[in-house]
Amino acid sequence: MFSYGGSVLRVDLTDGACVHHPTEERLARSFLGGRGLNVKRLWDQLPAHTDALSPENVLIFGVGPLVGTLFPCGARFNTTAMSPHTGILGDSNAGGFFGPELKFAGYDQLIIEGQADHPVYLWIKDDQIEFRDARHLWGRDVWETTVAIQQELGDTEAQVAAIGQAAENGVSFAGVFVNLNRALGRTGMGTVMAAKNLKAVAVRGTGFIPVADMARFLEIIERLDAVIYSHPEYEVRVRLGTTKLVKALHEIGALPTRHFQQGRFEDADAVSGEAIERLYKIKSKACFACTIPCSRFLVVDDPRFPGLRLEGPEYEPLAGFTARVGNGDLALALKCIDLANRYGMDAISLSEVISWAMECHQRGILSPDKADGLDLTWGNGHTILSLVHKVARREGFGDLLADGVKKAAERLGKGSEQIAMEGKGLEVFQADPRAIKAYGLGNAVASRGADHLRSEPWFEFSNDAEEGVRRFGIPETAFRLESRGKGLVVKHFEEMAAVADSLGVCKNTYNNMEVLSWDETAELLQAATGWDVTGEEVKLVGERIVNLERLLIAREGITRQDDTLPRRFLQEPMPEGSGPSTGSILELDAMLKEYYLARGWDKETGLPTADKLRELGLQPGHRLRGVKPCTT
Amino acid sequence: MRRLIVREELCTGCRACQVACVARHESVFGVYTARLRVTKDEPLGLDRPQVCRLCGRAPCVTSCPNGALSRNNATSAVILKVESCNSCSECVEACPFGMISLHPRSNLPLVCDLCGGQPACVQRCPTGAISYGDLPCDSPRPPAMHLVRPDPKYFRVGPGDDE
Repeated sequence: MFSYGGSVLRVDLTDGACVHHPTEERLARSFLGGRGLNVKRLWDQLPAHTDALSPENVLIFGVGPLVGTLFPCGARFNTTAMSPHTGILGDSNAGGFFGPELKFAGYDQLIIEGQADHPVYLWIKDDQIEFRDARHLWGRDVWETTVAIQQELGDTEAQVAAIGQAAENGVSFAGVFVNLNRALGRTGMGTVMAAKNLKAVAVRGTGFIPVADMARFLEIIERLDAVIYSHPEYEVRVRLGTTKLVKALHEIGALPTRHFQQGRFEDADAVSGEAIERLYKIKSKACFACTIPCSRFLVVDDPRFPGLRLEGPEYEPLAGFTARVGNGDLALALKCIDLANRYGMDAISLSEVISWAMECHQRGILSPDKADGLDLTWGNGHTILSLVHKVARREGFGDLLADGVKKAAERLGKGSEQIAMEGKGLEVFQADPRAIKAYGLGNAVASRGADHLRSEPWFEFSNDAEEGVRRFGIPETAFRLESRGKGLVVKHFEEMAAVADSLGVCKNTYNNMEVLSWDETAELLQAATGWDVTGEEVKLVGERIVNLERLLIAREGITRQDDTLPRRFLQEPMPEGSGPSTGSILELDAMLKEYYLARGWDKETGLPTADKLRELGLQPGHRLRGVKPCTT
Repeated sequence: MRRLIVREELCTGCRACQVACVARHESVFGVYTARLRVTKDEPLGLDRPQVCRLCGRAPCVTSCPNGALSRNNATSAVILKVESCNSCSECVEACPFGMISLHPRSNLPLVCDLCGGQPACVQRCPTGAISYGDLPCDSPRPPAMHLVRPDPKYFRVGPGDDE
């Protein structure tokens, strides 16, 4: 099968069985790969209410058809399992070099089942699979583990996906890390891996990926390169990556300052991406074959943190350890991010639990004696740093925070539930949904819990009313503070995000820079796979994935009532001092109605209708044909 | 003489050069059989493109017992005559930079042929870390090879370097 690794590898850690079978073309055409194929596998294989930490849960690594090609940033892969953090769909995506390596080894999916009786790591070298003892690695951080495994294998080019101590200690939002700094952060995929006693997966592939029409593929790539190099966002993305957003969101008043109590942050300049570039950036870094090297290698010259060097960070961890916790000390924030990477934790969830504790303290709900005597005043560097260590080790007060903000608030009570910033159990990202409303809606309906990467509806920043009319028939869609038409916007971008995650490409280029239309995506897929696929079919793949994810979380008990966000965003207007966003509020109900209507879902239950499922080939008992979905 | 010139400080470690090399020579996507490679030290953030040095009296050429390797007159690149090669690995052993290996499937040595004077790696490199031109001492800033490639200054910003 052109443009695919060709095989699905299934590894059972309980009895050491490894089997592989050819990747099913029928499923590949219906779900592409990566996130889509992973979710399909999870849906087919697991019964409802599978305990995420039981041996029955499966952990799936999946790559898509554009991974490992010359597509600019065809480097992304997904890890999918039932989530121990939210109890629903767990799914996380990262770039780097692991995905392409897995594909060069010949695999489109790696499905890990069961539970080993002692810590092991997997060594996959093409078709040789080895379970290796990892008892000596247990208790070591992501960096140490990665380097130790590469040394042990005598192969510095082996790609390692590892977990740190946080996962071993059962922190529910622990991630899997590749290339030291690249996180599959959200929804606790590292915690699942630790429950399976799997410390790492190392992979080396010496194979290759044939495509159906190389000449045409390269021609499209050349065209794409020209689009990218002349794109208005190219320069700023290369210089700053996503950290450009610190200043941009400060300007518009959308930062999550002090746990969403203000949209602007007085120290925004000091902790901005520009400051990082000026003070610490050594060079640009990139994922596999990417022409927009948005990552940066930093050497932080600060006597308090000797030897601190790291890659990144992205905007999310940066804003999390600065604005969200009220900290204006950039080097300290970078130290926290580095620690989170080494311990192996999701920086979004981690910054939420810390900032939640600080707001609880501010409101007198939490006294210092309950928090190990820590001074929970906003921006207290010692406290922030201590909490990162304590959560990862589940020490003292950190133990309360290590299960995420929802469970922490349930245990603390006293009204702290009202200020737990989560949706479906997953912590809200680093922007105020009241100030960017399509993102607000996207967070409320996202299938893995409150998260922006399920949709990335950047279009609302465009301020181009004419384009809004052209695309969605509604001028307001182009403005972030308007709510009309956002249901249509979120639907569109959810489908784009699903396709990007399933092709294995970067959403920065595919969604935010919109380098390919549906038809151009189809053209590229034709050259890659040889299928006679159309733009319409690609779009339907996106819709199919979003619908299947909806079915999966509904099976776990999610209902219409769960498509919501914390009270603050829905009832309290943005406070004074939030710039142009002051006074704004999220009119979620109206947007939700519009969204369900656009989706063809029942507006009472928030579930796909039978007609919609039939249209997408998802009706029960139906075997997906994978060619043209039924449209009648 | 024109050769591949590496500017390590511009390399992002993305390996696009390797993918482009394999695509040009084998019409598939991969990195393992590339004729150049990027070695990395991730904890230190180092990325080092390793390319054929076009040695003056090339040990690979002189070591070949079968006369399968020769120099191209126009480009000076080392060229493999496939029918004369018996995969003896003498050239692999001889290269002082470890730049030659045998292809895992065809068993033929992988030597950089400079793509006949239009190297795929250079065309693809997104930052200008690899260029094709005269020695750096003659031309410290090689001219952009790719018409739409951006100014390399974006990739080189470091402490105290506010250009």
